[in-house]
Amino acid sequence: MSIAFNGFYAVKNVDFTLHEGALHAVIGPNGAGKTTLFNLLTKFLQPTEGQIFHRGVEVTALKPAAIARQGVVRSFQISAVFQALTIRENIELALLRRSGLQWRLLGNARRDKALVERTEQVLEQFGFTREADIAAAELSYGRKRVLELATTVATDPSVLLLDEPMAGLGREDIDRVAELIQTTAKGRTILLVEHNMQVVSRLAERITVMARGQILAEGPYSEVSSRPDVIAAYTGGTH
Amino acid sequence: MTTIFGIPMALLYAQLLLGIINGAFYATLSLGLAVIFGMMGIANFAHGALYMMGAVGAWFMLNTLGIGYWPALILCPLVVGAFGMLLERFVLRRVSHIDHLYGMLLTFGIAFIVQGIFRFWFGSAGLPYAIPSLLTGGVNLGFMFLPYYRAWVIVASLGVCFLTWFAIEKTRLGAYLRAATENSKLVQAFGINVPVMIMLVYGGGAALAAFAGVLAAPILQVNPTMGAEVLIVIFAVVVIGGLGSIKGAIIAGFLAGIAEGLTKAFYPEASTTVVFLLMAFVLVVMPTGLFGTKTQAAATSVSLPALAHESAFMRWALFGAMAIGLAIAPLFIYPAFLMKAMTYALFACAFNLMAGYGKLVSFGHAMFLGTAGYVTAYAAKTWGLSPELAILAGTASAAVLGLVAGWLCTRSSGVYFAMISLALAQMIYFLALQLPQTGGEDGIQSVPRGALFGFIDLSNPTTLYLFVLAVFLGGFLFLSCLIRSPFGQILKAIREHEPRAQSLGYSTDRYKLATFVISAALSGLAGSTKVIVTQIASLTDVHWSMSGEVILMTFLGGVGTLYGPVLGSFVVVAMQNYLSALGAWVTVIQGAVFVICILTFRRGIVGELITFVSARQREKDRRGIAMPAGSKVVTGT
Amino acid sequence: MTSHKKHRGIRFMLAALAAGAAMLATPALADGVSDDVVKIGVLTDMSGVFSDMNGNGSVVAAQLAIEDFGSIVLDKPIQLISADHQHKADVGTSIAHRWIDNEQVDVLADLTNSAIALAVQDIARDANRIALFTSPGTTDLTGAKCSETGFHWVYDNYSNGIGPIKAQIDQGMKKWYFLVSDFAFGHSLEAIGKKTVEENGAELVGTVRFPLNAPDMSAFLLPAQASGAEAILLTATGRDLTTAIKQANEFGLIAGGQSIVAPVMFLSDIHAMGLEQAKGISFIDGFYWDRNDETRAFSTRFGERHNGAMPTSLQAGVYSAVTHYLKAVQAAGTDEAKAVAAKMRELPVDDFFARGGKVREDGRMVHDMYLVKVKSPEESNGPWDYEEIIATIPGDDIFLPLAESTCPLVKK
Repeated sequence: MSIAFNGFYAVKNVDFTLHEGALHAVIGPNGAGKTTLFNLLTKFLQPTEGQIFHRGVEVTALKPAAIARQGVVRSFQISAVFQALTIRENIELALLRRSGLQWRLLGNARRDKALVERTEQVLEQFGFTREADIAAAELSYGRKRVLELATTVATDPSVLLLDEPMAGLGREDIDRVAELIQTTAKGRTILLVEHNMQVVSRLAERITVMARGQILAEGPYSEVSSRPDVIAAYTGGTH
Repeated sequence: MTTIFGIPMALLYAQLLLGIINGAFYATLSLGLAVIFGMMGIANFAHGALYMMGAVGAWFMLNTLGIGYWPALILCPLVVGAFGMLLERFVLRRVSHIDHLYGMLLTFGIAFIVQGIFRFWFGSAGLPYAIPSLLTGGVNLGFMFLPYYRAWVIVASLGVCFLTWFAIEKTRLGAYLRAATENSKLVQAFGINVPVMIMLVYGGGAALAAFAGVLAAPILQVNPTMGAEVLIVIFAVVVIGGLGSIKGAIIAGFLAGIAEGLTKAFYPEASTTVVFLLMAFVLVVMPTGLFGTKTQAAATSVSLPALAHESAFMRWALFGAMAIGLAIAPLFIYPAFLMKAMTYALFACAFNLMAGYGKLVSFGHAMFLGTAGYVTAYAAKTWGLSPELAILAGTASAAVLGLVAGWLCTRSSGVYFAMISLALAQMIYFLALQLPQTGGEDGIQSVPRGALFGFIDLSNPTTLYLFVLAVFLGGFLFLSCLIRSPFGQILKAIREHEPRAQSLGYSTDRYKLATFVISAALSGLAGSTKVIVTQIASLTDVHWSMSGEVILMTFLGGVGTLYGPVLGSFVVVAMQNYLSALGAWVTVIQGAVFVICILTFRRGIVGELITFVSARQREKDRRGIAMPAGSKVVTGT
Repeated sequence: MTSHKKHRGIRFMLAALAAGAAMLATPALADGVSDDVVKIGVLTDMSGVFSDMNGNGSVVAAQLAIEDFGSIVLDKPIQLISADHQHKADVGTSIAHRWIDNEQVDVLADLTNSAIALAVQDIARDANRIALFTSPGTTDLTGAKCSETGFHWVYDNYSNGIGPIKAQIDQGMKKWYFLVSDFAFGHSLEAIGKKTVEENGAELVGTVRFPLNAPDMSAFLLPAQASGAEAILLTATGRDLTTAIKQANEFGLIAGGQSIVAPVMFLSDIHAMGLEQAKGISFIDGFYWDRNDETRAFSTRFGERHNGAMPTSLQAGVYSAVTHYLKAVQAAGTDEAKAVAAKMRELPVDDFFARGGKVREDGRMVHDMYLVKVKSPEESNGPWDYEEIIATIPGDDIFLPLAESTCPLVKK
């Protein structure tokens, strides 16, 4: 598929397949069109040409919320947590739909025992139990990214699309988040956009390299990283 | 004599020509507005007042200083432009770093003040200003007599439009201006004085408005309210053209003039409404207008004021205090005032649901208040329904209207949302004016209060008061429970980060629509109850100034808080009733209060209170929390 | 927890009930003067489009009336309060209610804006107070919605509708075009006008209805111009009127020989337009400040308190109505509304405003009115010298005959 903005092709003739259960990374220099690809896949953008299929069914015309309901959940390049809500509330929010409460106009979400239990589970899994009731705005940037991952995972998605999850994180946080991603990856499909090559080499089974809106190369890390055109794309262009 | 639909061809040509002339005039007026919005992101509600200043200024110059039309054409814009620059420098700049909504509201308040002061100085009937002697008389074109002055209007307008467009698109200064407003920090780094540029932009827009005012003075009636009436039409024009597009404003201006001209030929009663119909149509087909380029950037959101610690006890105590307070208040305060304030409070709370929690500020909310009021009045008076059924009918009609309006409006956000809601409200106003059932200017009077459920006599003042109290408390309770419900949580999330909410599987459009309908229905409930109390349904309740009032009430009290709108509406209704002896000064005072509110306590009275208390709570927390050993909390950025 | 609060709430409410009921009970009106004061309330438009023809001037006129009466009636003081209803029906009605409930107001005056006037008629009727309508035009006030305690003083849509049209037809204008302001007031004038034209052997060649507050009337004037009508009836008031006339001049309608007939026009409108624009227009007015020595004397005193502006017929009417009311209170020995109203109908109205005027059963004050023409700037000798009185029309000829009245109070 392709997407053009006023004649400029941000993504051109990209033929991309994500296999179920894989941990797949997309890398490339800035401006390669990685986030645009993400936006297309999660339906935040509509392609000007081409189609998208999820599990054999065409989903090109869907709205973002619809594809998310099919279990395709993304995170954002700039940390997206609900700052005014507490950590607990952030996770509860992600879980509301699963508990069928999303159209409840009266009453409190906490009356639902299953919801409360699952919230506790997620809080513990990601280490937020003690600070559960402070506002998300108070967290450090690293912890916010972890929270975002937590809310993404809480929805029990079948496909996770993580947009530069390591961006802006310090050493310790990177290790933590990488570990969490590995644990979460079991039984799910993960698509990752990342600049941090160490993380990519550690996590990803398959890699797609993009440059200037097109796919340059695809394959396992060892194979792809040694290709001269891939190296050229990184060093020769803007980085 | 050939006719089209009964109108002779000659007359049709004449109306078209007049339409083009009016269009030229609209284009000049909208130009200033488009420049200001395109460059500053502010919807300048003071534009009408600036235009009026130009016209009145011309009259003043002629009558007091002996300065004629031609010098006034240059001097007035200069003077008003200077005033505009001062306004930007000392008032608007204070809110330029936060959500553009506040800039818009500030100009709204300033318009009130300027108009009120001018009304006080110059009266309301009108000031005579003659056509300059050079341009008196006209030429007979065969199908009509064209006054020379009108021809001059086209020439002058086209000239000014072209000059402005040229200056902005083709000159260096214009390039600096455009760059400065797109990325001010970057441009400042290049050594260009951005604040001065912004000041020039606003001053320029003001000068353009004043120029249009001087142009209008000889042919339209010069009076202090001339700005208010033309303002909403101009907004419609700018929206049609696409906010931020100068070319669009000019073309849309002419389009509007021609559309009006044609309407005047065939169905003149609708001529003041056709622009809004056009706007709604354009927005449905092209949500950003004809040439709109600026997609509403997600502005820095002002967070909802919230207490750091809140307990159920505290919430119920507060509610109880309000309920008890209102129950015993009639002992000390005139009950009719209290009942009126309560119905407005419910209206404001309903508005707040959209504006505060939904972050969608509607400029047409009066349409729900008024429509429900008319339906209830008609149901009670003509169909003889008992009050609870009449109110139910009114509320239901508002909900249905909310569904239709919501579907049209929620596809946009920000200023577009405001404008399209205004357009719809104007059309409802037109219907209220024209339909025989609504009584036009007289409204529906002597609405019977009847007997609630058939046996509770509402003409008894005490039962009436208790009924209104019950409705208000019920509505308030519903809203406060709604905020805390799962639906409310999702709404808060959408408000903060809509794409994230979508990525979690929530169809945000549906939530916005649902909120809109609930807000509309409760506004309708308020309107219906108000009609039963005052026993009159009038055009005031569907007029756009009523929409403005509810914005004032909500923001004054504290948008996004539960009790803010309640407090705000009590304050505003009190001001109106107890200061009514001051006449024209009431609008000035209201405007001044609003401006002061936006400048110094923009979270509103309740909002600031909550923030203050919350900060104290957080201080206490910070001192109380001990850092546990071996903590996993990472000290990051 | 909710029910707990509800129970507590109910107990408080019951307490409030008792106290509230006591407070809301209206004080019984005894013989003599209620509350030991005769209070007059002037409810008008002080800031809107009609503020120049009424507004503060009405308050000044009422003040003069009170002072001339001696500021005391039946040994009790006379007080005056005023308020601006901003042309809003709900503000007007709530002020009226508050005045009656809380401020011991005995009589309401001015009441510009027909919608508010009709509402106040009902309020005053129910609360047994007097209402002096000097400003609104709707004939319903003395028609279907007439009241024992409501009085229509200066003009109404009938007097101003028929008179000028008939006069112009008599002058030879046979072809008419109507420019109608699109609301109840305009429609009612249109209906009256149409009937008059047809009954008097003239022809209505076309009608156009324009929306209120249209800033540019040129598009509506064009068809009038093209129709070739000799006279154009312009049923507009205030600002719409001045805009229409200004533009009629601009497009050469008047220069082209067509006459503009404006049924409802006042001195303040001429002042707003300027003589250059308004010259030659004829209309019916109930009062002109320069008519004789008496009117001049009053007007000078009025002008001293009102920035030198001369009174319109509406403002002078307030003086006349308030004076007559006070006389009636004096004669009745009480300020109880029905007794006073009976005296108001009994006593003749004889002041500078209306010589030989009388109040009919339907509440209509019948007095002579004048067909006036606006002077040209050359004919005018000084400031406010605007009108030339062409003819005096006796009251009985210009107001709706009692026999045709739809007022239930009129015995047929």
